[in-house]
Amino acid sequence: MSDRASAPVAVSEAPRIARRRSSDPMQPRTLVLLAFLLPALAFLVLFRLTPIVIAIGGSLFTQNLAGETSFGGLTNFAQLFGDERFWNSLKVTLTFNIIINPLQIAIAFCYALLVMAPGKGVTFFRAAFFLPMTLSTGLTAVLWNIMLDSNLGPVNAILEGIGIGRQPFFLSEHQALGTMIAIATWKGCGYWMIFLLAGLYRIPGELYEAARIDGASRWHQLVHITLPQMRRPLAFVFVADTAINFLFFAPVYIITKGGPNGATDLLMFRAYENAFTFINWGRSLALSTIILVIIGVIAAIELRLFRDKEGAEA
Amino acid sequence: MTTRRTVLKGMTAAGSLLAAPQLLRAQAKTELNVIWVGWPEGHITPMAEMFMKNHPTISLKLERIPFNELFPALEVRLQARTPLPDIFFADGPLTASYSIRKHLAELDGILGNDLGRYTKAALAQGTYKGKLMTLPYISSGMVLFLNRKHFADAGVALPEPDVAKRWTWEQTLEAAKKLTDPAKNQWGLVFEMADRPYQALTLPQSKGAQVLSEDGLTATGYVDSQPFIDAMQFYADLFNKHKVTPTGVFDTNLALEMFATGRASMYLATTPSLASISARKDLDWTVAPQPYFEGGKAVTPTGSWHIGMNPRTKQRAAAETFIKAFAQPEYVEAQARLRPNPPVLKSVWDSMGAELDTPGWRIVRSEMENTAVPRPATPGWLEYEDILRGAFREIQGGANVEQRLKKAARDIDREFAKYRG
Amino acid sequence: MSVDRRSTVLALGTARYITMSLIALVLLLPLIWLVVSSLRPPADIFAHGSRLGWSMLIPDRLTLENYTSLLGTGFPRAVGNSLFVALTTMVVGVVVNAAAGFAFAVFDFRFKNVIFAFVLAAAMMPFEAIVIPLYILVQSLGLIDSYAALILPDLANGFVIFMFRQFFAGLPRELYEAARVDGASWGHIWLKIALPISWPVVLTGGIMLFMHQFEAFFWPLVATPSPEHTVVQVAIARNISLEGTEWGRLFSSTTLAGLVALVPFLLFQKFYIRNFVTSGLK
Repeated sequence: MSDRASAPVAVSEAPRIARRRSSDPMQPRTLVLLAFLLPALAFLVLFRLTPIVIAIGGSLFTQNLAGETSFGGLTNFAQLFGDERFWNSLKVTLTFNIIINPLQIAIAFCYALLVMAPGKGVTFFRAAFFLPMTLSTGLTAVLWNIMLDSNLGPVNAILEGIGIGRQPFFLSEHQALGTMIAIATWKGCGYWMIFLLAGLYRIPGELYEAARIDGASRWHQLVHITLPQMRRPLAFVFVADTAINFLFFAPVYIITKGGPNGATDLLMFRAYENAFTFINWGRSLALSTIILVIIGVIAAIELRLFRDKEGAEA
Repeated sequence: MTTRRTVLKGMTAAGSLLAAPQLLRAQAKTELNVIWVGWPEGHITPMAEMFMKNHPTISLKLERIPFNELFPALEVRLQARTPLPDIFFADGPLTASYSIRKHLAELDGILGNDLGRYTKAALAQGTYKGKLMTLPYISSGMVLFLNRKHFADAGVALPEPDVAKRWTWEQTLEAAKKLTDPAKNQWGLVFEMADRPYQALTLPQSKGAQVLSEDGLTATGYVDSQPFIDAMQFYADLFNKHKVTPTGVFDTNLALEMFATGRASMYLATTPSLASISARKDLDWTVAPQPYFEGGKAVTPTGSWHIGMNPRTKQRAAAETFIKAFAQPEYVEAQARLRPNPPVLKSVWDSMGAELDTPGWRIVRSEMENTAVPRPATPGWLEYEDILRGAFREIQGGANVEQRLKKAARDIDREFAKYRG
Repeated sequence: MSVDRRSTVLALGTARYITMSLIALVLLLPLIWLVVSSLRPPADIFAHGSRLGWSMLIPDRLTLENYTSLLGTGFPRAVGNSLFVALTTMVVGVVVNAAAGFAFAVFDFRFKNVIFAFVLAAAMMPFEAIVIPLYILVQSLGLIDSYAALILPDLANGFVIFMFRQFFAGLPRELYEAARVDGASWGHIWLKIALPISWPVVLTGGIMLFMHQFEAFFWPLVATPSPEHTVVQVAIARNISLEGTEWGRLFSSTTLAGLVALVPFLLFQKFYIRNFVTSGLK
């Protein structure tokens, strides 16, 4: 990096992005800053942001069948807002996320606390907690669709065997969304566990030593030492988990197709369905744009909540 | 998207410079990019080898895409409107959709006038606005599979493998009641495609319903017509009232397992099941033709895989050679020998002789000539199918049939608006 | 007093193992069913699903056929392809994203928050919305059907940058200040100070990138048509078909892919312990 910083381009010619002059030792010269940022930013601009701008632009166009487009302004959005199915999807999506995000993170935190300390067989439990993550989302859906099948599935055989009785799961309007949440949680918690573990290992042991000498209880230590120290990792996990769960849709596509009676009609599934089944790209891109905006707003709120008392960013 | 197009045109120009060396290399031997539906390798590779042996100057670059993802993956390539792929496999009912969106080159001029060789239904599926747009390749049909042991145990006489002695749905229901045994988790009747219009539409059609308007652009008055509602009420009762059919068996492969593991006595399924069920040595089974409604007419489903040519292909001559080759009886026959699907050429039924002279295939052959009705021709097949699938699932789950079909008709017509405009 | 304390520790330890075992049971049962099914002949897979009994988990006929028959297919090659793509992305991606994450955490520059919002947005857009422009772009770069088509678009990842930012921001600033006063360059500080004390974080970022690529499905399906570049998830999905799923091979290939994907995590948790010197939660 330091080599690149002395590249044969005069510093004065480079755009001055750095706010302060290089006289402040804690601020890098522009070229140094670019060396750190540019590789990642260049890839993101080329392979993500350009397509995103094209997609958001596309949401303002309507396309006829021969693929010719005409500017429609907010037509696609207006049509969505006037559609009861959209409002149902929005409700389903928000319900799904309000439940699954805190649930996954709470469980992942428990996983991390449980397997953090070394001990006999702990490696086995760490691997066990992570293992569901090694199945792709699509295969998770295929596996659970079989496990929960009313006729051939082992889960219903067990439930019947122990006297609870067979359950419809994905076939019931009242159980389908909950079942989706359950299988996504089954798969996902082990993933979030690794970030929380990485965070827990960073907490200096002396903090706990001091607390123990003061006679603080374990609960006290958790609330007053662990949680505040985990502020930054938790902020990341909340934002990333929110985004990933808003983008979740493969099991809906594979198992329920949004049903029964709209119970699992997630917005992301509708975006996919409109693109590849209804061949209505304008509407699909409008839905995608709405999803992006919702995630962005929630992420901003989450980041704000995780700021520390002095107001520094999370 | 206008903006996208402009930006992308520039990028394509830049890209073609980078791709120049590849073009030079390709001149020695023409390479055709072919997207094939994801059948097992053994059903595809021999066909490709056969073609390359007969046409040494053309090499095929094959891509097998799993069925569930074929449409989305193709859609990305086609919507990009580039010369690739040169050739792609299309599900028959999508011919109109691809045609209207200019993803298909006309094939009439390539094949000449001997289209009468094809079975009627297959030819109809490949035709849009009077022109052949996709080449029929391999077809499908359905038969009723029966578990002999269940019938014997329940003391029910088996229906005969004879189209002249076809059971009615009413008879089938009575038999299913006797065959169903909840204590053994044994069901009277299971459908391979319980939620797919491919199979379910034949019920209203047997009651005389027209399932879509003549121009293929209106569902209201058809999908919610009285015969359609009556037929679907009968269908719903199988699941909810008589409980002879399990709800929620939407995965075709799990449906097959229900029959193969002795949990279903009757199984209405497509011809590939003839092979998969034959492979289960412990199973004692036979076949019968698909039932029809008393007082109605016999209607059986059919649908075919077709081959389409990208109108933007840069290798038109080679692509035409491919189309011509796969219209030859040798190719159709070779494929039918590899895959248990009915051939689309009449002559191949004869040339294959003994192979297709089994009770099951005799039924299918007769159905292809007499009772097979392809899915309705409409540019909006995907929307129609998707919305009806949702309705059929909920009808099985106990939804009010009339209300649910009326809603489906409204939803379909709303999506169809774009084709009318 | 000390006896009391010891018995509390013992009770807590027991409770911990009981809890872990219960969780592991729920998580692993479906996977055990999957592995057992992969060892059954295809006709037996669904024969025992509807009644509670040991036959659900103990096969009466064992076979390795579902595994041996994978050898003749494109599956081994697909695993190799996925490993190559995932490991390359992991190694290069960690460097690229950690550098950007460090810049966002430590430096102060104009439009920092705006740029960072774009970085996050890059990871929040539904992929289906960008797949067509991305396809056209990659094709115009002449990259379709190459490893580059799989690797390049996923090297930079908004979430991985975000993750690095969070952890680098948690390091005490005095660390950098002392080094700067001693005249160290930023490159040196990042490479020789920030990264070495953040090994678990670097590995976490590596796992994110690895898993992202190893589970990739739709983009590889679209971007790399030929068998030479088929990735593992596409190879697995080819066993599923409307007209007859190969259950045995579906389960055996899923099992193998899962085991391969577990390896980086196992290595990484080993590193954790090495870095884990003291903890108050013992």
